[in-house]
Amino acid sequence: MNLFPRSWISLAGALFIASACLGGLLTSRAEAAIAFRSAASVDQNGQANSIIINRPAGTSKGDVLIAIIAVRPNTATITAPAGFTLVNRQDNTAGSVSSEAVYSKVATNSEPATYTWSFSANTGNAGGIMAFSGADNATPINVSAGALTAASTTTFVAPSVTTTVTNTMIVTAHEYSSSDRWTAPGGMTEALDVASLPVPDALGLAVLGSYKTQAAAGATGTFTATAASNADTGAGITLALKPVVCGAVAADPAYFAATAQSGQVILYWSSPNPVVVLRKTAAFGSEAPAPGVSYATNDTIGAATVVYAGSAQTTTLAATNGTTYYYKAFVQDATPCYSAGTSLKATPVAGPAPGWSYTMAGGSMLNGGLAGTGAVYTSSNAADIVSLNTANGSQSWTPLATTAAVQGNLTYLPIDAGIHTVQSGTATMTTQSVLNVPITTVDLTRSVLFMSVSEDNVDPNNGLVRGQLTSATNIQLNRTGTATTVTIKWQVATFGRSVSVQRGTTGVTASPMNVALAAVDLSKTFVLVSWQKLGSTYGADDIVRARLTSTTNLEFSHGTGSFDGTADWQVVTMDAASVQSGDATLASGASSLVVPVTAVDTTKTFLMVSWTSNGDSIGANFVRGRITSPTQLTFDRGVTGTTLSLTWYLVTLTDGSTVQSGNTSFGTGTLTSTATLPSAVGLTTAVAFLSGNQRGGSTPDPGTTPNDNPGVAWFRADLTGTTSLKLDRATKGTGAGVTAEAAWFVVNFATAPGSSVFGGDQSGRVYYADTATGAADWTSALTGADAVQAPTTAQIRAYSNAAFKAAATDDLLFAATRNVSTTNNQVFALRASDGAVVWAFNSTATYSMDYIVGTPWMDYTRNRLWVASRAGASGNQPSLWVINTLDGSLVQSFALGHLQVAPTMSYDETTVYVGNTSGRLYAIDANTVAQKWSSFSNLGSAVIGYVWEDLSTTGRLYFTTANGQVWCLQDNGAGSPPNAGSPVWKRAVAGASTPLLLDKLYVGSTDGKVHQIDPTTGVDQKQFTVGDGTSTVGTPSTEDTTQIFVGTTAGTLYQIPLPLP
Amino acid sequence: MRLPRRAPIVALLVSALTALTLVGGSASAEPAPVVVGIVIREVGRTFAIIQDSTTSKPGFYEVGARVGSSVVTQILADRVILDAGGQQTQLRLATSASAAGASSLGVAPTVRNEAGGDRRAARTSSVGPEAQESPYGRIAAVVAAAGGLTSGSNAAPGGSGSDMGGVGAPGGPAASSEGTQNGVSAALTLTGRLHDGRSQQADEFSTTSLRDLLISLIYTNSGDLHQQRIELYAPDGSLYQRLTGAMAPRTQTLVPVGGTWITEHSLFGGWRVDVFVDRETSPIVTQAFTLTP
Repeated sequence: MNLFPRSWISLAGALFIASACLGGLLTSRAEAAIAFRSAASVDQNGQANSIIINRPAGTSKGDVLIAIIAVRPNTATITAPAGFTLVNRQDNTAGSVSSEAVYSKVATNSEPATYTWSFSANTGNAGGIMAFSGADNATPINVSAGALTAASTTTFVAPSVTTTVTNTMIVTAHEYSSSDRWTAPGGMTEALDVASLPVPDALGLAVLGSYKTQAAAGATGTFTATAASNADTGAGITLALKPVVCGAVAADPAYFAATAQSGQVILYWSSPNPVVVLRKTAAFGSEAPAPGVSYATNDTIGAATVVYAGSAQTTTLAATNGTTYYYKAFVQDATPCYSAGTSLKATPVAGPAPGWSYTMAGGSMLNGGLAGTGAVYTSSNAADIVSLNTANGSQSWTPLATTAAVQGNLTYLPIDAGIHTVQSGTATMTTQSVLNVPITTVDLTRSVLFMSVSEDNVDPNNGLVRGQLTSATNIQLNRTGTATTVTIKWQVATFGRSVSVQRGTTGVTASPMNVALAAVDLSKTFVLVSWQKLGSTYGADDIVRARLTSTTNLEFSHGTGSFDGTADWQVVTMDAASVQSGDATLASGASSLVVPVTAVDTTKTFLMVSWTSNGDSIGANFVRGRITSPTQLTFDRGVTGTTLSLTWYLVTLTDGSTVQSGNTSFGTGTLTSTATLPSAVGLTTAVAFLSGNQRGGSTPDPGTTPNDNPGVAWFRADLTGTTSLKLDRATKGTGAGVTAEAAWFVVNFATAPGSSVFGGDQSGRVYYADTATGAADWTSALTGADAVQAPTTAQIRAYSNAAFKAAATDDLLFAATRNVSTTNNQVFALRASDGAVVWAFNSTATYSMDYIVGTPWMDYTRNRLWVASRAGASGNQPSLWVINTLDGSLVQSFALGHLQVAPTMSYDETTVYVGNTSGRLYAIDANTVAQKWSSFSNLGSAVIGYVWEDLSTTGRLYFTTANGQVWCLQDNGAGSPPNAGSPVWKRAVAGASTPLLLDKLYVGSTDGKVHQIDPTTGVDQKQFTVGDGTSTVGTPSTEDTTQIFVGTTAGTLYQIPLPLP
Repeated sequence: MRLPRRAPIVALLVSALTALTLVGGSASAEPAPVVVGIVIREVGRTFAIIQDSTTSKPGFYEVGARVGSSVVTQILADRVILDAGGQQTQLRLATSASAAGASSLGVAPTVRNEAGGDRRAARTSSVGPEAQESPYGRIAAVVAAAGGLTSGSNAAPGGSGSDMGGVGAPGGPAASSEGTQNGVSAALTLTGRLHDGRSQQADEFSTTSLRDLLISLIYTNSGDLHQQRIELYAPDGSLYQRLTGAMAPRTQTLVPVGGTWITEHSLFGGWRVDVFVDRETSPIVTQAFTLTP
């Protein structure tokens, strides 16, 4: 039974099987089929000494031209035009002797209009040329063969050839020594059919060219052509053209963009492979590079011209202002075959309006972008984050590829990097073995303790002091004994997120002893260590070396002795540092050692060294480390006799921090010396220390018992002024004293301001990019997020109140989800430094939360995030959410219907405005978190984007609604809502975007224009047609109110000066 | 060149009427309906023959039709997808040999990485216990998973814990079209996923109710093809979005509509979807549709 005419009926489950079988039987298709393009031939050329054949119509670069030339007699010499290569020639000596020759040529971009073959002798000739596209340019002919027909006949056979590749084009050439027309071999298409004399004629000769495709490799069989009359002798030639075989289709450039400036267009793209760019002045049709053909600049492909072919990633092209150019970029693979191509159009204008335009191929760009400090950052449906120079529209950096479209406005965040502050002080231990030094609260993860020491003591019990930040408000200094005075200069440098510190206190019970670390970047990390030890005299075990032996291991070691030491250590990673490090040995008999290093800028570089010794002594165990040239370190000491194993860290700061260094020589009687710094430093941004484990210099004092007092070469480094470094030692040694050398460094840390932009895409990822380079510092794929449609927002710690600073160690970024689900959406708080989730609101779907598409509003005063969502399938779910940013808890929620806008707060921070899709505008008291108005203002249409409040008139609100109205409404405070029936004004603008409020309101429109509206009267004062006016214009933005930036559905961003022309 | 498709119905699948399929992976209080036949047609409407669980009468159901408390959201060659109160379930075409259970549809991500060349690599972290592929912004190959009882959350582009369900929405003329190119056939179907959980096949959607647009493509004889790209054109003729992905016999692409630039910038009017394969400069299939405010 067949219930359904023209149907196939099968049993359940059979379809997949059938489909699979069908798929398996499919014949593989050539990637680039050979096609006959056209032919040209000369009929009745008689006995001319040459034959001139036109170039086949439409011949394009890369076409393979097959020429058939026939001549009588068989002994005639045939001279081919330049570029043609003989494929086969058959000379027939039987009957009316003649010759048939076949030539081939790969067409260039500049083929002549005609081709001339000349003959040494001639009693008749004829010929023609066939052009084929899609044939392999390197080896066009797969196989060829010829055969003579010696008997007089009207049927002539071109021989069989055996092709070795699939999808060939079989071409045959037949000739006989009479003049008449032909019937092509069965299954072949006749391309040319000419004779030397008017037909029919028993004299002269005739030529036939035919072709057919052959899918499979193998024997072609013979091809018999039939002449109409006048039997005679002749010949046949068969050849097979080899197709271009492309591999997998190459991917288009990762992006393709253009900046149109006056008189030129700058094209940008990204591809690891060469690119061919075509240009037209009309939209592209089928113009594309042919498979197998290589192109050069100025080649033509149909109506298109190759304007670039090569491996660069940009090119600048002269262009005529006012002309719209279409560009299409193709990636070329090794064959060469080409990608599908991606196109855009650009129209340079003389300016000033627009000043420039920028187009990203691949989708709409409706955000005006985020502009400031000379750059505008935006994104498009082409899945890229873009930074453009606001002055000329050129790309600041290669666009950052995102997984999916980024439609929400990007967010700009100053990066909290560089030095925050340096606290410093002097602590004196007299009878204490433990001394706590209170400090102002610091972030332990981003703070570094530098300490230098002076003392006058001969036993480690009392003289060896270690120091550590034991809490956010405390430095703890420890020694074993409780006698004699030790003075410690401490400096606590606190940084932004560019610095991270691991620290610990380790009892060293072995040598070496290893301590596990969280992985560090060795190229950005160095170690600081201080050391406490038991003992009454100084020996080899009183000197400790700390070094990183891997990214996760810190090693301590010291010379032979007891294992009763304790190390306070800090492993400091500075993002803005480039650290070289190494081990070196100062041999027992050596007083100095030179170590080559990769060149450094000595004004930005400091040196820190620690070591082990194999013997006792003061002078032999005290090393001075200096940077003696950009490529050289020198370690030296005043006395030899012990073998020292050094580990050094050479730290170059790349964030604008500066380093001053020097050596101060202490005479025999000198305890204090002040060095004048060439450049002033900030006393709250600079630290000073010695190179020898922060405190040590060198001395010639051998320091043997009972005078082994390290105090002769231990120094306190104290910045007593912006240009004064005071160095103190506690003893000059016994008798007349000893000299000492103090190699010091003063590091003035930079505040290193930086910035980032970040945003979410429709794949649920958040991107955080450095505005200086465009590099993505991190990307977070948010689990549970189908898409991030809403613009992200942030809470910057530096601008936040104490409660937030206490709760958070970093800036927070907020990203809200746009899920398929109407109930499981979330709001993520991400740590700015690495994207880690600090909290996620509704991560367990405690609340029924529909998707969020409007920018969340950050209330810094109250540490609250206002989030607007839709209201679920029912429309009754909560839709306005107030979230505590300290912990992600819910403060309050409101069921206000579907909200697809951003909540916005009044300038006085008392009121939050939000409108739903039904056109109801609500005001919420930000303090009481209750509705401010007794009802809502009924606008009758959904609010678009967000609500602006006037800069000077409290409660004056500007916004647009989905029905194409731009509004000005006055909020008169608590009580009745504004009467939407009598607004301050209302103006119709088709498809109005969210307005930009400057001195005027600027609104993008579906009518292709930007409208300038007087905020006082609502008069639509000016309209500026953007581009050709055919595309919808998006939401405007500005950098400094002297211009606006607007995007369009066509994927173009325009810079338009203000006032509008 | 794309040619109008005038081929006959591709397949009618009629099962033996003995088997019972399961719904959604969880025991259901009411007997599940049985899919006894599926008709996929290249011209005209695709429908399923479903046997009512209580009356045992077979009925013909198109996408959007109501089956008990569920709505048909997709009809595939061997199964029917239903949404029921937020739970997506599948009815596998019954066979005489066994009672086939509901099975999951796996989604094999096939979008190529666009960030080639010198594009910088970001430090990427997946935040949370497990990473997932977003249903948006990509062309996903739809593959049949073996067995298993799942209910949809990541089956085809559905999203994280999709709760879409409810009754079918009335649709206008179905937005589906077919085309051929170089021996390859493509059938395109547009399905609106609505805010209220229903699905709708139509060529006109109200953006008041439309949440996402599902573009379903079925190719035949596509074995040698490598790549497809879907281009969405806005009413003003501008390319709104291009998505590129690997070729697969069956793909689905979910395009967000609600709360996107489409509604924010009133991109209402006549839209067009063009689908291209490999290096072709003309679409293999194209489909117009309308978005209204």
